[in-house]
Order: sequence, then structure tokens, then C-alpha cells
Amino acid sequence: MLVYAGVCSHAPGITGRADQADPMARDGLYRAFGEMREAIAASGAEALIVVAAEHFANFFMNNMPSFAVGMAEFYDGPIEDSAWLGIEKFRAPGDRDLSKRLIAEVMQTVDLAYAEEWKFDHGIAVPLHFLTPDFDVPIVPVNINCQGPPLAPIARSWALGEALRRAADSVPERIALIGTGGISHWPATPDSGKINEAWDRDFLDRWCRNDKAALLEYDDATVYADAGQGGFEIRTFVTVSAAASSAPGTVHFYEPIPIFAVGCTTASYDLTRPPR
Amino acid sequence: MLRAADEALGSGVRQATMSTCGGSRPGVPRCVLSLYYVQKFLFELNRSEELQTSYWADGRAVLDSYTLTTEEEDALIEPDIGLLFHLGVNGQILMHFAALHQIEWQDYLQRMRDGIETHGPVREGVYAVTGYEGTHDPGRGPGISAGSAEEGGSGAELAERPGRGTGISAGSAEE
Ligand SMILES: [Fe+2]
Repeated sequence: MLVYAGVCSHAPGITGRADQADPMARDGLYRAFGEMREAIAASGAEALIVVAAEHFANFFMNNMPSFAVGMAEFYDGPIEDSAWLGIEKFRAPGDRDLSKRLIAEVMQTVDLAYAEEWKFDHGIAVPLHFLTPDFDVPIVPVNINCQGPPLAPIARSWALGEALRRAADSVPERIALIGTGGISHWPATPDSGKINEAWDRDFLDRWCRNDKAALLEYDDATVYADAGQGGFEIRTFVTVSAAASSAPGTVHFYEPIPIFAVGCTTASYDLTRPPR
Repeated sequence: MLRAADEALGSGVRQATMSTCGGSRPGVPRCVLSLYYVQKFLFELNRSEELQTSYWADGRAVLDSYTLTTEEEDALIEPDIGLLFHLGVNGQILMHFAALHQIEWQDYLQRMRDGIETHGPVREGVYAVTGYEGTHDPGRGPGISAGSAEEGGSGAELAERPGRGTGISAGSAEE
């Protein structure tokens, strides 16, 4: 059963360049992550699905799946240098059997790759650093290719979200679901630090209204022009929208923090309230 | 989009690349754009401490098993971060290569800017295909593509989109 649905940023600077950020902004973001951790714990979640957009840690253009789901007993990370990312090496628990049941249900409507081996990069490691710092909640990683075009159209991310919801509701475990990614950003390029706040706020407005038509309006050429390559990661947010099934959303924190290279965000859907 | 980017690449760039092609392995095509293999090498290097050890010991020998041009091989040995970015290497791979070489963050960003300044717009890959936005050159201003705009490609059209450049934080230049 799905008991929590939210989104957050995952930029490596959030932990790796923490000392270079405006302390007020950084501490505000960290507090927001803390509140998200508490909300997930309060939901009684027994497992956490993380819909991420990894960055060539496991998946590469030699064999690039549009969608992949982890099916392992454990996941090691971070794949990046620990000092660079500011996160110590860890082993996060998985739940192979739960993954298998979720995958089987998702596959009824959405084609997937699965992976019995998966090393977390910052796309998952940064959120977990804040949300399950004791690594006491089994993780089911889900990846959407947002790096190596051609990318699956955003409508397919919506379909994935609907399938994940159906799958989560089909198992007895209490399931939390988060999507992680940037909104507008130009990560790891000369334009790192540029953030299109107006575009981000418009996107988050659509996300909170959970307006399917408005969310599926985006195409990659426009997204790239207005929101950079990092904007392709809105797929993870859109997947969570679909999974939340018309529930209303709230942005708990949004602030452009240039040294973190993204408009830092936490937001969630209220699954207990009737759809808008 | 793709066609515009293709035109933006232009025959001049292709010929320049052809003339710098090398490679000594028998049976391997000598004059191909091999961005894929540059990135494949960096992807594998980022994942494998064993490969990193071999790279430090004898980089040329390691690179021999990848289909690379002389230009690419030299850039990977140097390392020439600016040239690698110009060639089209994805920053999500390149930033770890820079970190491996103890190049700190602001220096990494500057080297990419210098690479574009020296070599021109990104030649291939995700940034080139979609019309690379450009550098922080205040003379160009936001929203002007450093890539295909001059060629009358997609960048120029995109630059005319209303609302572009507004509400954009200038970013790391301010830090
Ligand atoms: Fe990312």
C-alpha cells in the first residue's frame, strides 16, 4: 500500500559543496530534508521506492534501459569519491522479494529492465543521506534514463508512475515513494549554477495541482532550452505525480542555491486528502 | 532539431576531425568521431579502481583497447578537460574524471569555459544536439546560444523565445 509520495533534489553539491553555500539557505534545505524524513517515518513506511535519474553509474549507452528497477538484497554506494560527495561509503538494504513482486506487477503495463546489482550514485545517495541516514529501511531503486537521449517520452514516465502505484497497492507492505531530480539546471557544465526560477515555480505549480495535461505538455527540446539538460529529470517528479493519482501536492521548500546547482526542493502529495 | 544541429556541425568541423584522426590498431576504422568510446572509457574508469590504477600506471596502454582518435587519446592523457567538453563528453561523466585528477570544482567549470573559447561550440553529444546554451561571457548575454546561433540553427530560434533569460540566477559567477 502506498503511504507516502514526495520529491526532493539530489544534486551532489548539496553534500559535497555544503561548506561553500550560504549557510542560511543550506540549513533551510537541510531542515526541509529532516521534515521529509520525519514524514516518511510517520507514514509507517516499511520500504522506500526511490525513482531516480542516475548519471552513468550503472547504465550506459551500450545497453541503456528507459526504465530499470533494482532487485537486490543490498546496494552499495556512493559510487563517487566519498570526499568529493561528502558521503561515506555505505551498504543500503534492499528487499529482493519485494522488488520482484513490484516488478512483476509493473510489467503488466510497462516494460522494464531489472538489475540484481546496482551501485547508488548521488541521485539516490544524497536523498538517502537525509531520509534514511541509518539505512534501516529497505530500498527499491527505480531508474529513468534522463541522461542519454533518446529518452522515453514524459508520458511514459506517467505510465510508469501509474504502474508503480498499482504495484505498491498490490503488496501488503507500507510503501513510501520518492522521486529525486532537478528541476531546471545545467549540471556539471560551464553553466552550472544557473537556475530558471520562474520555470521551476511554474513546473511546481503544475506538479502541486497534479495536472496531468499540463505535466505532459513538456517536450525535451523546450525543456532543454528553458531548463537545461538537468530539466530532463522532471520525469522522476512526473512519475510521482502519476503514482499519487490526483492527490493535491505541497511544496515544503524551494530555493535556488547556485553552488548546489539547482533550485533545491522538497514537496509531497497528501494521499489522505481527496483529489482536487 | 537534429537536422539543425547537423548543419551546425558543418563540414569544416568534420574535415578538421578527419585530419586529426589516428589510431594504430589493425582493422579499426581510423577516421571516425568516437565520442561514444571516449565516454565509455570514462564511464568504466569512474566505476573501477583497478582501471584507475592501470590508467595511472600506463594510460596509453589502457586507452589502446578503446576506439579513439589521437586527439581524444591525447585529451584523456593530458587531461584536457576543455577539449573533452568541446568534443561532447557529458559533464556527469567528465566531472568525476576532473575530480580524479584533483581538479577542484570552480577550476573544472573554468576549464570547460576555456575549452569552448579555444575550440568552439560543443561538437557532438547531448549538448550539441539540443543547442548548447553558451558560457557566462557577459557580451553574449543569457539566452544566446554559443553553439548553433551563429550558423542560423536552432539556437537562434530558441533565443527569441519570450521569457528566456528572465528569472535565471546567474549562478556560480556570483559565488
Ligand atoms: Fe541528476
